[in-house]
Amino acid sequence: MNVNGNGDSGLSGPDSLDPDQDDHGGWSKSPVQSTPVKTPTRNSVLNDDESLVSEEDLHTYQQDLLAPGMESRGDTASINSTGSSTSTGRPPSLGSTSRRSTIPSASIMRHYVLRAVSSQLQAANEGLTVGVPSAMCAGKLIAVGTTRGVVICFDWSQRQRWKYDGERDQGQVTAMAINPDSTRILVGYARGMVYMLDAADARVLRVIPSDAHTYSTAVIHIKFTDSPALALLSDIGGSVFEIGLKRVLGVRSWDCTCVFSGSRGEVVTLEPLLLYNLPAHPLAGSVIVAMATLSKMMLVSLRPQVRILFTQSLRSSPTTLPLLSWQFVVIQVADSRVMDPVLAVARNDIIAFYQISLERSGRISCHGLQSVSLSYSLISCLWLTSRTVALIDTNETLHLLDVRSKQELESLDLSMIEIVYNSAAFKGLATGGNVSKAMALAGQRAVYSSVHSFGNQLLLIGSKTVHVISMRLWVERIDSFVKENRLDEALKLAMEFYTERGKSVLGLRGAKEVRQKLVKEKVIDTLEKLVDAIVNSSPHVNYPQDIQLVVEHCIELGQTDLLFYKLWDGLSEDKISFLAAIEAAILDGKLTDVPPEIMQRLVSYQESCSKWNDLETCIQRVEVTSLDLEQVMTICKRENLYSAMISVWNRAMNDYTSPLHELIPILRDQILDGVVSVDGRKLGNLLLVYIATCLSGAAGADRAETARQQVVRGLCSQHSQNANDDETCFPYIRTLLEFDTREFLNSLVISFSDASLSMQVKQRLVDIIIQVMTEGSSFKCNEVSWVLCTLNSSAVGRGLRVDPELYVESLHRLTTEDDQCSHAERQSAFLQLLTSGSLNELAHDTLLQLAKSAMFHQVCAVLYEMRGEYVEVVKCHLLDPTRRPYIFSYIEQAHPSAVLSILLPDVLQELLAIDAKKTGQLFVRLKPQNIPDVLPKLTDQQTYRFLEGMLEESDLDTEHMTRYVCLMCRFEPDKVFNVVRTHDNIELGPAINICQERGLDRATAVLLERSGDLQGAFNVLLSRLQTAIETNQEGTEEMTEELVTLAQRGNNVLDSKTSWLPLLMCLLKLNSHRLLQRVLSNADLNLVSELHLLLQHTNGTLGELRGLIMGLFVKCRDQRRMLEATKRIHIAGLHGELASVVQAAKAGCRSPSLCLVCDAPFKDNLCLFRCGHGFHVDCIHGQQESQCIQCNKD
Amino acid sequence: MANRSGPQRPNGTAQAKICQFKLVLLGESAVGKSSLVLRFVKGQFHEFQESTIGAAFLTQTVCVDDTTVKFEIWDTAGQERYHSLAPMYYRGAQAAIVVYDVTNQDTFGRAKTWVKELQRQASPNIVIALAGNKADLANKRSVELEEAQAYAEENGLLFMETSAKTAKNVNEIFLAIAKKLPKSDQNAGNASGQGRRLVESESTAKPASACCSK
Repeated sequence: MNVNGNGDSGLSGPDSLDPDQDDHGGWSKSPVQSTPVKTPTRNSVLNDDESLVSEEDLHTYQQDLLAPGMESRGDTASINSTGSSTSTGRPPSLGSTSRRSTIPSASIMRHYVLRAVSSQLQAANEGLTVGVPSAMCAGKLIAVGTTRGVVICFDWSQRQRWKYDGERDQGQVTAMAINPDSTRILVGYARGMVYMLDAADARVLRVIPSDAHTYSTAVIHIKFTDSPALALLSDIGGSVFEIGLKRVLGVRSWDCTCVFSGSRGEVVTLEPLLLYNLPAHPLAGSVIVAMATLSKMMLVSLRPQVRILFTQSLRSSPTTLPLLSWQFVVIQVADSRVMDPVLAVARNDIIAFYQISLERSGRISCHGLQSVSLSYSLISCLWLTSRTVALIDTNETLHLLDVRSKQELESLDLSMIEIVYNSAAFKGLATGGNVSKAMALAGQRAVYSSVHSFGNQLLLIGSKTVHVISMRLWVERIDSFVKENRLDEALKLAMEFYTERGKSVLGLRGAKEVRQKLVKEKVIDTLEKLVDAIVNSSPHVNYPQDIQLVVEHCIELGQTDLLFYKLWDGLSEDKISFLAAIEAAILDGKLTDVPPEIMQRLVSYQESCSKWNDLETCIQRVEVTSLDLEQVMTICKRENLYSAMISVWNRAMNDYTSPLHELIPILRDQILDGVVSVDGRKLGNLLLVYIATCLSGAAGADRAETARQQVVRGLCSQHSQNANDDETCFPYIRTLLEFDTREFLNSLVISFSDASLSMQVKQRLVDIIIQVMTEGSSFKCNEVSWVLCTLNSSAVGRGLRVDPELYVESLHRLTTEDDQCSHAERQSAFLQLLTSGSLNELAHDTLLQLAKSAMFHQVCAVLYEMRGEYVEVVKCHLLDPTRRPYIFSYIEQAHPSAVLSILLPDVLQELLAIDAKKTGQLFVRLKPQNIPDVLPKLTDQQTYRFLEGMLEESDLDTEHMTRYVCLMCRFEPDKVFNVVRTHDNIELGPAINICQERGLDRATAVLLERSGDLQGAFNVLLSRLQTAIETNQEGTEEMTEELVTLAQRGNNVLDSKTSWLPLLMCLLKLNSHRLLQRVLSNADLNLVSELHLLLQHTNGTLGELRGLIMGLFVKCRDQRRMLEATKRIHIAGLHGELASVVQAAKAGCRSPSLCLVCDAPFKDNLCLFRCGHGFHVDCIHGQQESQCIQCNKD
Repeated sequence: MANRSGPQRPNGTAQAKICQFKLVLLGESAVGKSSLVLRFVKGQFHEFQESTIGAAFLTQTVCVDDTTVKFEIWDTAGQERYHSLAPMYYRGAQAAIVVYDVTNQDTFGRAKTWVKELQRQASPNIVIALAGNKADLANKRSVELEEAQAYAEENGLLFMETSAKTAKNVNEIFLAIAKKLPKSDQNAGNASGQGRRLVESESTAKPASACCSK
């Protein structure tokens, strides 16, 4: 027995757990440094409603965890209900515990003081010998340790069981633990001693001296584990020890082994995972402990083997302590549910959740789930339910946090409790302060031993009292509202539970159905209470809103009895709000079955408010048995609520004809001279829809056939009810056709597509429609033919007949002029008939004849096209004034045989008449080979246009081009010049002739120039200029320009006497200095000779020539200047050259000794170069002597 | 519902026992069904009563012994075209009044067919009353009292000759029906065609009570 062997093994023993020795890097490599890990895939687990099943699966385990006295709370009674406790029987004393009035009654948390325990503690401390509470533990018993080392044990009936004060010199009790079956209590003291007591009689079973762990250090945590032979202890030195508890041959023994040395980081809290309630859990049998130092959290498995499972850095303010708490949570993984432990790790203001699960491989893994940041710093964090954690902050406020929604549900000020802090232990006051500074600082606010969670209760010890904070059951929460007469809130809360939106739902267990049922009962119960309150005119009721609330909930829960009898009968005055709520429910479609009495009232109410639309909708929505038909129909008839009437007729009386019998006459009255009023249109559309739905069998499976038959019968009725003698046949169909022929037929056609409508019925309808349409003249002929088309397309294909005679008749009507429709309308009607195929049976010739007689050229065209007579088609198009302009594009796209038509003389003439130019284009594109044949037949004008068109399409040959130019001279002389200039392939002779003939000088000039007669061209232009000057025309400048350029071009050919001179002469007359200048600046004029010429040929005074002479002077002066300048430059150049030669000659050079050619020494004549090479003159004789032959330099 | 004040849910407003019954009037057109009801419910009589469309709904409460009987009266239209409506109303009814015109033998014949139809189609416990209306026109009588009486006895019907115009026997016949109607809870429940609602309320009531008593 190595009792003492490891006694001082704070210094890591061989099997102690030292993470550093394991892998130092592993610590630093911990996944995230300061913030808890978030695994995204797992993160949603806690938030996912489906994945978590709040309570029921935990039921068993919680049941066991709860003390027998507490057990019953889960099911029924509040702690106040005295007689209801079970086996152990909670005596009335607990029932008498007073409730603190500081807490709002509807809150989730309920706060009790364990009065009896508190007063006994106080009484015990009367002589100050016991001290105040400092630690506690709770199981089936509550044990409280005091500052004087006394332990007092109570049962749940708050009776003191025993008091143990054996060890006064060990300082205060700093840690306590009770084992799962509440038979052993471990008590740790400030001086390090640990006692194990028998819970029944305080017998000391084991004494573990303070040197079993780190010597003389306060025990801060002592915990039982699942294994009865293993307890855990941590001391103020920060080390963790496992205490093996053995009993051999009746002798109890123990041994203490260090599992974690404080020298590697001081463990301040540890929390073993307790699985004893879940023997089937896959983790059962292993011992897993969560430990936390001031810098990290670690998860360690002690059994079956010692292993670190997970570590996580936990850096935060040094004044805060890490907090650990385990809870089992049911988590939906894929298709199975697992119940995994979730560890809440809190420090300062962050709580992180970790799920521990056993993988298939047997490895235990740990995933971060989510983390919650809070606005306060925590001193305690404990699970209450699998969805709720209780948090105590540094201000001693208790917060209830919903884990899934991260919502704070409630908070409660606990400062009046005066929670006991364990700081004395953490500072090591009893052992002389042998504590690290970090520990002392962090332990300032430690409450590890004074706050415990127990099931869904929180136990706290204050300096004088012991407190219980429990979560209320859902029923209690509702009841507390009820008690306060806040019935509406109670109802809302209950509904929240019902719709599973409620938070912190406690005590609601079982399968979903069971829970739903339970809650539903409660909701109904609450609802009844509220109804009672309303009926009894309770002052707590907020009338209109609450009535609405009740109505809504009654309907939602199907409590129509309550609604329609109790509430309705109970309501004395204010039935309006009830009716309004009912109305809303009906309009929303939530309510269809209303007692007739109430419905009657509702209808009267709506009538009084003139809410006709709502009334109509309500009538259509509610069951027909709820309606007072007399009342409803009277109102509907008065207010023209046709839909409602149809609905009642159909549903109540199974009557599908009345809508036709009653409403079509109304519609007829609304149609005046073919114009339908707004109301009439509404009604008409309603009827059309009605007919369509009935015929297509949309009335409902069992009624479809009845509806169809009745409607058909109604429609086909020869006369309306109570008809006058002069009524025309089939009034209904006639009215509907008059109302909207197209829509009516459309709705019929839709129903024709339904196979269940018999062929006879369809045929009958078709026949009647045709009869109505054709006889009499109330319908326009195009409408008639439209009807025929529609019927044909929908009916004939389905084996229905339409008399071919009708088509002929209708055609005759179309083709006679006297109808009120326009020609175009009739024509399109004809076309429709044609294209719909209804005229297939008629001979084309007949049709053609008809069409021709009525001038329906389009129809003719279509007919011809059908027959493939494309030439005729073209002719028709030509005849049709609307189509004529588009004939060219038509021909281009038309069938090849249509193209042939353009060769026909009459067609050609037509085309030419429309547009000769386009005809030309057309020919080039389609029939180029026929152009020569065509051209002679054309008039000059046409030919010109034709050629123009041809030219636009492609180039013309010389012959046509010449012809074209000639014609152009005739028709559009202005354009000739451009054409002539841009086209070369013109026969010059005839063109010049005709141009000259037409006086087109410029064109002539161009042509002459092209023919080589530059002088002629010049003359032409000059004469033009002269005439222009004489007649004082504009544009002389351009003319001059032209002449000058021409003269320049022909410089070689033209004689200046015949060119420049006349030009100058001519310009002189104009007396324009600028133009003159322009001519003179032409360089190649022999000025003097010209002057002479001028003087010879003019007889005028000098004054006439003044301008010219001045110009000559200026020119002369310029030229002289230029000459001088040139001379100067030339001389300067020569001088420079000479200077450089002289310079070079002055430079000396070294003479070589040998000739580079023959390697012989120089004797007499040598030739020396500046590069230093020398040769015999003979040696380089015959070669150029100015350059060195070696390096080609001078 | 006839017995919503069931034993399981003591009603705060419960004074005397209230029974609610659905009653339907049937008969040939223009025999005076609407007049009869109007006389009973409002104490009025119109010489020229418009013909009813479909069916009209009225309620009237009468006291029989210590029970309040509330009649939900469906006054159906007698015109042939509305006959298809009738089953909808008599199907859930606990009582029916078949009315004929004493001055018109045909209406009596028609009344007989109504009775037959009721006996065949309606709820088996239905209380049927035969009313020979327009008894004030006794001088034009064509249906003898004895004949009708015999027929009523034969078929186990309540029978009275009434007159909406003079109010003769109008309240009486309704009272007679009220008396004859079963007022004990089970019977009313069974007789009810609205069993659906009853069943529903029972099903919800039972667990609720279990919960409360626990």
